Amino acid sequence: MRPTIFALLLIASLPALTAPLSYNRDVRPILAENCFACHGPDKEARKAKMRLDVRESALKKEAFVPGDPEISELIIRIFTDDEDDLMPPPDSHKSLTPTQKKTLQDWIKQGAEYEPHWAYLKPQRTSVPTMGARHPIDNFILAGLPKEERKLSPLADSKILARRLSFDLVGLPPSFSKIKDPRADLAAAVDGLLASPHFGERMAVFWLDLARYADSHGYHSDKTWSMTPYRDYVIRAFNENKRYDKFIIEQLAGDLLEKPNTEQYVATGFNRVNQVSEEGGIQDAEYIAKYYSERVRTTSVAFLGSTMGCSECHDHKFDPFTTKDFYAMEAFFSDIYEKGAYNGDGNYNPGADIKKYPGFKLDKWGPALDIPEADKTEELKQIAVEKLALEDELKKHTPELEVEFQNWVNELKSKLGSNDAQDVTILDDEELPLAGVKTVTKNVYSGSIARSQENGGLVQHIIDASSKAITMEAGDQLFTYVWLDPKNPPKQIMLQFHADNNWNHRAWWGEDHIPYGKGSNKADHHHLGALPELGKWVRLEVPGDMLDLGAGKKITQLAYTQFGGLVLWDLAGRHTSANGAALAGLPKPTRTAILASKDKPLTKKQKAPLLAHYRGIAPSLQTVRAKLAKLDERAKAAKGKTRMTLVTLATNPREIRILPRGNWTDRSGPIVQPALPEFLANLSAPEGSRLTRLDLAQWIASKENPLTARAFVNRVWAQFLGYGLSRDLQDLGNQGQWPTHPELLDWLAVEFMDSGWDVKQLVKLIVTSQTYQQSSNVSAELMAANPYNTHYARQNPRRLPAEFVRDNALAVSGLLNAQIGGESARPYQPAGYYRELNFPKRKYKQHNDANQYRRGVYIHWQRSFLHPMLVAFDAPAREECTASRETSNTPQQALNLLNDPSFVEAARVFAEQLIGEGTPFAKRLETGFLRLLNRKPSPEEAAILLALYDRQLGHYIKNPKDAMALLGVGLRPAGKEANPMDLAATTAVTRALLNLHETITRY
Amino acid sequence: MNDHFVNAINRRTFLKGSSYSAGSAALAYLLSQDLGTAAPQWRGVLDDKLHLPRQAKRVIHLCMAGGPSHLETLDHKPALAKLDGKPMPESFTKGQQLAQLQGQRNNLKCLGPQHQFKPYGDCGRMMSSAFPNIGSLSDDIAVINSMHTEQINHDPAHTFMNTGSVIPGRPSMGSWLLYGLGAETDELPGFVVMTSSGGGQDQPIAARQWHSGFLPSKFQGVQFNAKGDPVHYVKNPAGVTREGQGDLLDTINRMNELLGKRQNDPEIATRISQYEMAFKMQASVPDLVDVSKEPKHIFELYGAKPGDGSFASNCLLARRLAERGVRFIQLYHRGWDHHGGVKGAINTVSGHVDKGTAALVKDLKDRGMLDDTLIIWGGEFGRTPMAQGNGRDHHIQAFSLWMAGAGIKGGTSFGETDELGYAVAKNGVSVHDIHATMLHQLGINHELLTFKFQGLDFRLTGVEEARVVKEILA
Repeated sequence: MRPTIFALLLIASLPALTAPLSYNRDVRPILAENCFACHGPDKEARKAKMRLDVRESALKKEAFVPGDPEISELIIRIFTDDEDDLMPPPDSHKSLTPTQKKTLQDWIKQGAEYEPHWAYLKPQRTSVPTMGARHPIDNFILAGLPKEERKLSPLADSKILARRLSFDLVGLPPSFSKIKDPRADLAAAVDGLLASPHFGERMAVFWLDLARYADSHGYHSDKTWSMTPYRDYVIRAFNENKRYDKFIIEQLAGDLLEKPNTEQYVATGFNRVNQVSEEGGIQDAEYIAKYYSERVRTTSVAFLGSTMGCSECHDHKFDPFTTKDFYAMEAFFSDIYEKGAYNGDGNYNPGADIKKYPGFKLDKWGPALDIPEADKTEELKQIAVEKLALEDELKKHTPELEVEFQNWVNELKSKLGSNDAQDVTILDDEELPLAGVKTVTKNVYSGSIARSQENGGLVQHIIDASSKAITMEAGDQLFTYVWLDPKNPPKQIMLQFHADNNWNHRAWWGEDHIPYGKGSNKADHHHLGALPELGKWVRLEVPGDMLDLGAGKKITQLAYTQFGGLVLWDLAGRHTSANGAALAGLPKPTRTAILASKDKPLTKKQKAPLLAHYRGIAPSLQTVRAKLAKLDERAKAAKGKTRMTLVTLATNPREIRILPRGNWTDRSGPIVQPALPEFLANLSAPEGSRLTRLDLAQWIASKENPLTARAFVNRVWAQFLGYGLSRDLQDLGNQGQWPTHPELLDWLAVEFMDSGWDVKQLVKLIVTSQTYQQSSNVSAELMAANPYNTHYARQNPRRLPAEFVRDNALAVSGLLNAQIGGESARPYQPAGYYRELNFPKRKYKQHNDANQYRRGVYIHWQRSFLHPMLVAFDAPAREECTASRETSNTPQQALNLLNDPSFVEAARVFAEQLIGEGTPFAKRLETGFLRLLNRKPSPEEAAILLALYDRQLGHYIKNPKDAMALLGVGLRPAGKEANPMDLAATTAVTRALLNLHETITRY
Repeated sequence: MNDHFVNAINRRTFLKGSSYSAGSAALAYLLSQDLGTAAPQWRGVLDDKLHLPRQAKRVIHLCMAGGPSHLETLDHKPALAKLDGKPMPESFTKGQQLAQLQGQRNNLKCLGPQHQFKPYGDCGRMMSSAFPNIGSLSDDIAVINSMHTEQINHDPAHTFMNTGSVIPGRPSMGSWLLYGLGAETDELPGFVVMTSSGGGQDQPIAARQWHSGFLPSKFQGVQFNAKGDPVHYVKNPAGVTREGQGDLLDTINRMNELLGKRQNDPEIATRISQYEMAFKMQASVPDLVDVSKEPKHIFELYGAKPGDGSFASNCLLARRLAERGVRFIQLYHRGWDHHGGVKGAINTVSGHVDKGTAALVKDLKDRGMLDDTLIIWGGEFGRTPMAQGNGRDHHIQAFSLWMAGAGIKGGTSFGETDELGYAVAKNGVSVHDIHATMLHQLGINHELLTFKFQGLDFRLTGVEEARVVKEILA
């Protein structure tokens, strides 16, 4: 393979090299883009056994000769005009530009030195350049500017800066956040916003995208689930300025901390809020595989800014992540108590048992916690005080009560008889009818009806007996009456009772067909012989003890079960002693006392329990008891209002194998143990144990990890400056982008870690820089010179995120319900939007209370059909971890702001506020502008809007019905004070204001 | 001030001084629907740089959602009839993935085809007699009998069919087309989705099926609703007339123009044009869905009644969308999940889709539009030759679909399954191959339509090899 003469000439004719090249900055991007796919880390895809990403390998295969490009194969191959030899090959559709070719040439001439990828080296504290600025960030930014343009843009004016800070820090307009003049005292203004409880909501918007938080489970039926406590945890964490390292550990492995508190369990919802499925026919193992790989993708992007996703099927083509790394990372999550198929076919990890986790429950979606609502201590205290007073009243012993009590005791005693047994009815006509079951009136045993059950196979009908207190006495027998049709006899009949929260109390007659309890010879399936005589009413009897229904057991339901045939069922009951019958329902000490004093007066000792019991039923105390019951209800509501949240519990780990090409059905790959990516870390478990999620979390949250702090500060920077110092917020790896300011990125990362991972301090550091405070409005020349603002020599205007577009309208109109946390909110939504959902069919129920007006971060997040307003303004469905949102500019956004009732109502309520008590139009406009845009209107603007007002007023005066219709939009009724025509025309003006580009943009 | 903005302003200078009550020229402009000269809303990255000669200008995907049985529609299997009720030979199913039948792996029985097949058209291709109207298209359509897919459950299988990946968050085919080719309308979205149901249990369909994934969100599909507002928020609020809304729009845009003079921000000009388009959509969408002016014979052809939300009505709307320059039109009919009673269910679903499908193809042909419209008809997977009661379970080893129009060779059949219709026996075609073929007809080399995300060049056809099914091309 000899170079053509032409190529040699070309090489010779290129100018001499100049500045020293950096492998990371200049060379690697070219190789990564064009070469590594076939000559990189993925050994499956590697061509000619040649890899260019490792210097030693490249040298061994004689890819180049350092210092001598002319005899370097790499250079010859990229310049050749022989299509067979050309690199990259034509069929790859890649090609190098002349500049790129020259860069490679110069680099080899300079010695072809490699550097490890920048993001995989621990960030070092870089020294701040001395550029004469006071703020370190500004010195870095100035140093990054070309020499001749070494200055920042002028500062934004105070009003614009206030609006910028307000939206950037709390996601609300300055008229709501009440930020003080930031030019006068910037630090105080920033501290004020950082202390606001709305700061957490603002930061949560960005974190919840990464955590793929949603209110529905995702796949297929996409039912609502309850995870809101996790969302509130994130908000609280930012508000309380939780250390970021702690924030990481709690979310990934809070359950593995020593004596975790409730909050730490709630945090682990991070691992459980992934999409899951309950679709019929899915395979447990397939979905478990899906969940594991999704978790690796999310964990690597969210915390490490690394895309490991490719390694599921092959060694990463551009980064040193291997397939083994991917599955070894999966193995960290294999201890999570979960299943793949939530449709009844799935199985939890072998041996997992929720009973081993007191306080937790097993929800349909797996392990969960019920979290009490916000602090209700004060309310409970108040209730306790009121209760005490009533209880005193209840305890008062009056002569009237004494008389009442004695009468009751005497009556009870008079009923006591012998110990002869008698029947106590449990079921009679009242309980027998059941929807869908036949009853007969002719052939009955007692009363006027009997139940008729007929079927070719298994038939069972249940009777609810919970309204009657059935507490078993010692020696009680249970009985029922049946009539078996001689023409169509059943093969088997069964009597079944529900007690102790289960149905395992069965007695049966005939052949063994009914599947319930089958195979057991115990109380849960007791055989009492052949079928009874046909064609006559027969009493079936079974001793309670035989069915594990001894003294004290409470029966709540009965089931009549048969296999085949026609059977009439009637009266059922309990055969008990006469005393037992008389004293039915009384607590044991009371019964003992009555029986013991049958023929003599009560002793003091006997009287106490009886009197205590009697206070609970005495008619004269009914009012007091009712009041107490109400208080109890209130206490229960205060105490018992809980929100469920799914949590991570660790149980027996599943076996994780490397899946060849990611194929879950292929079990031929080797088993892997939890391990950190080999090229980044070297941590092995002590002999005989395995690494845990906590080890993973601690490694991620460690100062030794080169990626964690960089990924986070890069994203926080992007929140305030528009885009990351390394542009790709997902990926800091080889395919990401070389940072525009690598020294600043590292300095911020080290500063952040050294501050104790202090998020608020990081935010304050950024927003107090001049870089942040620059004007976003620069000359056309400056804009044209650097349209992408690579050097941060100005601020970037940014459209508000979806949530804040909504919050702004609600806040300026005064409609906003500023409640922090709680259940998700359901604002107006187009009717029928959920029509494609099924299993079950869904009907959206908007909130008709104060929840209608809550912030966007609380909107019910339905993954398969996200609220159209959120969709229009680029919020992600959160099916996967998302590190950055698009900022689109579409007609759907216009339609939304124009016609969505949320915005129409906000405009109208805004208009009402502006009109007040007949304020003149000019003043309305001024107030409106100040509230919405933090500035006064220009005369030209005022004239345009006044003209709009006049024309609209003309229309509404002519068409008052239109005015009434417009004012009727939304739940909040229009005030009576304003003239409807005036209000409708002013609403047109406020609608225009809410639609302005300036309104939804922070400059 | 950047050029784009200056242009936008100049374009709009005649809007100055508009007055709602005076019926000014500006308002007249905004209110007029004759906007044929307007520029397309998005020119597409490939724009005039197509890789190949373009045959198709647009695509209509008739998605038969739920998993149509190939054995009762397009894949003739007389041998299966002979084994009806007999055990499924284990050689076919051993070690294979099953969905709901996994519990009865050891007791699998064959279910013979529940409908007769007969030859249709000059090509004489055997097709199900349950779909006589589709059968009448036989010489216009190319049938692929050797489709296979990777996902055995509805949701991920649709995601795979639409995005070429099972990982959520990838762009759907319609979004790729908009990104590459742009749209030829600035009054309607370039990618429109409609749904209908009937004929089987309605499996849910998620909006992720028409999402733009990592592509800019302006490329996502817009769902048109059969009931309520055809497009969300396309209707004015109560008490606001079209003129009143136009007055408001005009004011908003003038205010934005003033902002544009003070503030250097290219988004302002875009915002102004988006408000113009929104206002046009407010007229053009109702105009699109107002089929009252369609002649009677068209309603008869489709078997549609105005506003009934049926598949047939959606087919008629699809034609109207195609006429108006929409790039990708996707109709879902959610009626094909026949786990039980497949015989009757096929009749029912045929009643929903047979006539409308054929009418759409014929109507397009009559108007000369079939030549540049690519039709794809099929579901997300097939169904088992094994019985599930008297129905069939999900099946990924083999299924059928057909394509028509825009350079597709009518009357061809491609690929074969084994004698029982269980697995591909010859010339397998993957979902990625279908994507590659579709792009090919649109003038795109599927390897060259890429988008950088997470540092990688993503494409619709994924990382595995995909091939254009040249055998079905004219």
